[in-house]
Amino acid sequence: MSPLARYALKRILLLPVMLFLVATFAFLLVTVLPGDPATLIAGDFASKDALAKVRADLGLDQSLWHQYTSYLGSLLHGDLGESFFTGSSVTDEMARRLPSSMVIIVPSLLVAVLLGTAIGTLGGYYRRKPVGRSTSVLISGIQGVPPFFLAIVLIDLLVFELRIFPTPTGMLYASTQRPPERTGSVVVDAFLAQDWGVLGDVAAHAILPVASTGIFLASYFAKTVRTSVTQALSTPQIEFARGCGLPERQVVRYALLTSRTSVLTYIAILFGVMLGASAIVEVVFSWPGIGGWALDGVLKGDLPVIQGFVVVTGLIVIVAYVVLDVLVAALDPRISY
Amino acid sequence: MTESRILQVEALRVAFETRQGTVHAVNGVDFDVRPGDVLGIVGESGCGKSATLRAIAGLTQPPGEVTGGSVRFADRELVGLSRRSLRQVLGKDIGFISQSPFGALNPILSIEAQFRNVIRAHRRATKRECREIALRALTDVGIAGPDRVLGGYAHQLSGGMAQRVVIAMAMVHDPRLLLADEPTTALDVTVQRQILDLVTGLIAEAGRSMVLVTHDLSVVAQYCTRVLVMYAGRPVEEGTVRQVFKSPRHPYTQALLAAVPRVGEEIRGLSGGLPDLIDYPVGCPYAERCPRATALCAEEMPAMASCVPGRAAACHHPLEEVASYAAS
Repeated sequence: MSPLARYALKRILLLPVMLFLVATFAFLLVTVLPGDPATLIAGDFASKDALAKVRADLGLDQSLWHQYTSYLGSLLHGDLGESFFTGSSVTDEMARRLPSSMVIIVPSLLVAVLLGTAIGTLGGYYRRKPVGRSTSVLISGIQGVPPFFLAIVLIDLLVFELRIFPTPTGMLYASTQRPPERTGSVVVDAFLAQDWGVLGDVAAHAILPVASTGIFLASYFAKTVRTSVTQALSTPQIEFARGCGLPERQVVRYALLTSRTSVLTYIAILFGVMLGASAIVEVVFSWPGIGGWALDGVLKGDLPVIQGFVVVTGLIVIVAYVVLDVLVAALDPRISY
Repeated sequence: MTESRILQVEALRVAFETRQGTVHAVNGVDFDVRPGDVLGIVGESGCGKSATLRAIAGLTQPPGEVTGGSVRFADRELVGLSRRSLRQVLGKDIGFISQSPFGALNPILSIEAQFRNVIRAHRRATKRECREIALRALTDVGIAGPDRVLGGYAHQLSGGMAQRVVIAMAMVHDPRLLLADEPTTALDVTVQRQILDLVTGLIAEAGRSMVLVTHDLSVVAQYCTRVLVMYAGRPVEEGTVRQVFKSPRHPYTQALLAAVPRVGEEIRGLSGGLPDLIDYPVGCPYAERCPRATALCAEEMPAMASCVPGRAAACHHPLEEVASYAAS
């Protein structure tokens, strides 16, 4: 087995341990949150008996330890419990909503990486020229505009004024024929049914939320790329490359290679951030993702929803970091593992 | 006469814009390099020797800028050339080697990939041809097992090996002129000699020329044919190594030679420091540290004056020629 494969395996074997820690954290988080779930469900004026009945139904009359073990037990079976208010399974809800969120998050990051790297490279390469100086204004400008504001401006301009994009009311047109339901997620179902029409409709609806999120995130990549390209261009390595007569595009490529690790790290970090922070854009575009749903759960005090959200997004983030570590190790020959 | 000069540097000036003001790093440097010459440029840190070398290769880093003068390589003016035109010359006709081999090599690309980029910068070659050229170049610089080196990365090499790889890359297109900026400073002493033997050997072999920037006078004595002594961005003395070392005419050269440590003797350093390069002195920049300085020195900048062709010094009160030299 190659050293890299062994390293990857070691990191993967650690995953269950980390998931266990996340699950425990999510459980403790909910128990220390203020408020009584029974009161939440039964209402402020419920009788003592009614409250006791709700508690018994939820298992809240058991000891904390018992609650914890039964929570872990159902977690092992993929059961995240049911929403206090809708009664729907949290696992099903997440399976339905997560792919929709990914339709925004993944392309946004892709747009952000490409756009940010382009802006950052220009800024670093021409840092003493007007072009370079204007990129730093651009970066600060983008960073100063929150994505939801950009989204509202784009909606007003491109949807209501110019009528280029569909109205921000979810992923589909009212007239879209839904694919046969298999997993509950429209995106996955359409994919399984190879229904390109539906996927096309989703894509048309996704452009604006992806653009407004991607442009905002691009500022982070632009900043880190600009810094590392600027630094790299003054190193002996670049001097030697130029001294050997390498064309400038190669010189820039050499400079960009040094920023690869920090770009990858930002992708993983921002991916994690977006899982939690996609809520605002989802609300603006009425997008049926996990962000808006989780936010709703938090505001209502819907504990299983909060718990499920923390566990699932935590798991995804942990996996993303493992992928990041393995990728970084694979791409940089200096890292030994 | 022009054909016999491969490199002509005239009145070269380099300045760095800083917040405190303009630093005049190189203030009018003239010299020629003929085929077969190994010219050593010496001087203490900050005398502008590295800045001169970079200006020749068009590698001056902002905020530095070549503010005047001319660099003619094989009768082609290099100052003011676009990066695109310059890169046709660099690596092909002029090779460049810098101080730290590990700094010069890309840490992420394999040695083979870097070789391929350098080779393809100036000629078309397939992957296989590149590999063959690289293997030959590595063998020429005395690397045993070039196969293994090609497949590896910079961090896996020792300092001496890495510098050999750098030299092989810089010379893969057989440049007529090699510019080397303290190529052995980062290496330990035993390896230094090997590397310098190697480079000067490669230069002599094909009648190439080299400009070697160093602060090590023993390196100049052993490996160079001519020497240019610089002080505060100006040349103060020039001549063959024999002439300059045997009978220095400029008091600075004399002080520099006297400062070379010898076994059994007390180390004699130079007193004082470099003049302010922002508010550059009107007179001789060395006047403040010079035991022979007079009122004239503080008022008027001495020009490079030659007594014998190819030998010059910039001093109002040069040291006398030693009789034994005049005879030789």
